[in-house]
Amino acid sequence: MTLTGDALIIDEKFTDIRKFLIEQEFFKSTQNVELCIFAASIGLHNKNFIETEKRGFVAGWDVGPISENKGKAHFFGLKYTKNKDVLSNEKRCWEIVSHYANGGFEWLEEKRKEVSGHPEDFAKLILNEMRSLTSDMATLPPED
Amino acid sequence: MRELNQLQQFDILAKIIRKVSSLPSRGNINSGLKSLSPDIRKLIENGLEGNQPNQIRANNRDKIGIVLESLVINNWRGYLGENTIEFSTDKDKSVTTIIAENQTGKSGILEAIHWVLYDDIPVTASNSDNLINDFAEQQDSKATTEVILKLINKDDEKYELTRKKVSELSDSDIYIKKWDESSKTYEPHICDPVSFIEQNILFKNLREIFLFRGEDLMASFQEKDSEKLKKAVNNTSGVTFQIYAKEAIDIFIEKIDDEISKQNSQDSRTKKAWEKYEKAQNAFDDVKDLYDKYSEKLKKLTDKESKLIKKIGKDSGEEVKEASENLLKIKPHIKNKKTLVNIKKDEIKGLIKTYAFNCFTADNLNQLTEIEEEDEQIEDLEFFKGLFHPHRKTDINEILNKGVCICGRDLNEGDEYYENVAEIMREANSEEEVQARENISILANTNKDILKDFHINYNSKTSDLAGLEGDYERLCEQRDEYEETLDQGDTDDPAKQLLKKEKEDVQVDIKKFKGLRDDANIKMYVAEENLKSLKPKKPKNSGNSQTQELDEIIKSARDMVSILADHSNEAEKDTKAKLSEVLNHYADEYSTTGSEFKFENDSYVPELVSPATGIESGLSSGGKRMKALFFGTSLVETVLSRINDADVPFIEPGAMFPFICDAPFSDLDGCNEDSAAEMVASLKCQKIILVHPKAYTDGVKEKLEEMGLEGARYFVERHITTKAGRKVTGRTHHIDNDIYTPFHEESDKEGSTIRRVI
Repeated sequence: MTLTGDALIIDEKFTDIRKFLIEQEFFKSTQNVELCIFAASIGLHNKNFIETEKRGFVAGWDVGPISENKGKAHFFGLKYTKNKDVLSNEKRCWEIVSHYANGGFEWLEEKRKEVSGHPEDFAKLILNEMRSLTSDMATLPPED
Repeated sequence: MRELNQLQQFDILAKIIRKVSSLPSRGNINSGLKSLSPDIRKLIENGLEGNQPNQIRANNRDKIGIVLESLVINNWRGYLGENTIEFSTDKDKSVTTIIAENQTGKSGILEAIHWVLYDDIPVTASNSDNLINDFAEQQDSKATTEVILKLINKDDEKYELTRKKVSELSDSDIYIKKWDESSKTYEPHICDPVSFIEQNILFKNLREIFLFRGEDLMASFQEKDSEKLKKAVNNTSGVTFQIYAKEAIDIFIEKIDDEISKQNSQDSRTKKAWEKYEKAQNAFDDVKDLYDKYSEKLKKLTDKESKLIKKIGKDSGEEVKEASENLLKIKPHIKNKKTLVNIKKDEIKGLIKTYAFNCFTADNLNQLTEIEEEDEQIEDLEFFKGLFHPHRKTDINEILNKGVCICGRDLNEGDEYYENVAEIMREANSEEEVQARENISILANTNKDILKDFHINYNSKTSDLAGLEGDYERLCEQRDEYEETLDQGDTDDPAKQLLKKEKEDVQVDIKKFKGLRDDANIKMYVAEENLKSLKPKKPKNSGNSQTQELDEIIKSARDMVSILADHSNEAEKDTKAKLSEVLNHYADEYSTTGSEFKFENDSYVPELVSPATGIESGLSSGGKRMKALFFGTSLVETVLSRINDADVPFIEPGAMFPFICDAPFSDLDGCNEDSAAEMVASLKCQKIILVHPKAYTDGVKEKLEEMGLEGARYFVERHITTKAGRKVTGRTHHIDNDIYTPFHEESDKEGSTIRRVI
């Protein structure tokens, strides 16, 4: 069955943080799917799930990255529902991604406020978070 | 693919141009078509009027390019006052020789022609920011420089190009005038000078060939700059026309495609989307114009800053002079280092896009791998464990529907056996579910490696960045030291103080325009992304007659693009083959070493290989000069060979200019002066040879006499106020009945002058 309409629908209140992330060249304006997966992974990590109340920016079913990232959407769906039946419902999976993404955007918005006036520090802040979360998981070669 | 003859191709182009003018978006397209020179447009119009290709070819091929009439230089570089050269325009006496001793200003003649055409002098020329004669400036602080070049094009139209500079720090002005037969005067010719020169006089890509200085080509060979040489070669092959036309048609196709989409947009929503897109297009154009304007202003300011720094350093104490030179050298390094720092920062920022998902979901993904590895019972993850058993839902469904188990037992709804199978059915997974589980497993199983990559990449990039930032800071400190020395020097000199003040003002402006340009750059990026996201999708063709007509034209245009692409490839190959042939003909004829020319695969950098080894071993400086001279003359010969080729429909204006040769005939290896002179003089076009008196008397003169080609001869003489002594005295040359004295010592003026002798 071909799905029509929008796969990802983000709450309007996160339009500003999207604009900031695009202006700071983290993502391109055509990369809504990648941007939402990035935010959803933060939302999942923080267990912050916010349902979309007012339609903001979206990504349609017909954009390439939707099918390319189907596996990730299933992963978010499964983690949220804890029920394998969700794997047969892709629409629901992307809806869950949207809501986790809302949660991630909320955190990103807070972090942006923390570095207010120094947007260049925003990248450092995210990267430090990424490193501290994973430093004990990756087996690294000894440093020189 | 359908083969079209030349006439049909022009016909299609003409139709395209005609159609374009009826489109609402013609402004954009016409700007693309501007690249076509008037001659090409004329040919297209000819085609449309039904003229046969042979009539198109029937141009006057005796006059194929530009002929230079005269050059007037006023206070130009080393030349003092007004000096005039009347070039020989006689076809049978096509050589003008300008005899000049080293240090008298031989190259200044070629540089003057280069400057009047392109507002700069060749990259390998020295003192590129000192254009006004120093002695003239000393005598009169308001001294200016001016170069006037008079020329005739192949249609016998006469033009006068004048470039003037009122001070070293100011921009130059150019005036183009055209001879008016009725008033017998040169009248202003309204045009964009840069495009006029590019399309009608000499392609910029060919300037190193026709304004020949061995050093420029040698630099291209040395740097293995194949792209630059390829552009030069292609400009001689007619490919430029095809490339310009192809670009114009590509723009046309894009715009007409939009036009079809718009015409098929019946519903108000799509119409609105188009309106929004066009608005975004205008917004993008506006911000791009702004960005271009600021970039240009910034370039002018930084050039001015460099000139001021140099001027402050000039005539100062050694320390200040050295600081000014070092400052000029260090600035490009700082700019490069800053660019590298920014690139590295962007790369580090890019790690977020690449690795954020894996880092933030690492905990959750790891749990999944633990289940698989340890078969652990994690209550929260039972749902995932269940997916280990990829039973096939459809197969079990079939059993239930048939009512017969695989062991042959009957299955009746409600009985124990039926319930057992139904239970298995509930636990089973569909193919879709199994596939999804596999995808998730891949995410989980590859995550550790991806995290490792992230940390390795992060560590290496941040360490690179630290190194680059350290270098950048050190360079900045060094720059500050030089600037301090520059600021402290000559504090008593009011003229220097004024220059310093001017430099500070320029630096303030640079900072301001950098900010404006960077802002415009960000806005341009956002506007471009916005434009991409707003582009309405192409609706299905509605089949109305107007869009059908547009569709047909677009189809012809696409055919034309592919034909032009094929032609360009063929013309490129043909020209390269012809060039090779001419190069080897010259090598056979004039080289005394028996070497031959080869091009490696796609490269346009020629190699002069030894017959014994088959490779080019280190050439001496004379060998390098000879190679450059061979290449330059061969390329001119390649253009000339097209003139008599009946298959070539026309010669592009801009591809045939007089050959102005500043070749050091006396320093060639493996080739005698007279042979080199013969090679240059034999070219069937106007030639201007700048030659050292020794090389002239040692062989060039004899060869030119033998060929009977010398139509005008000039001596360049330098006047110096001091007694220079042994280095210059007694250097007189007897040439026919004239005595050439390159240097006149203890003169009341300092500068070179030009004297006509024949």
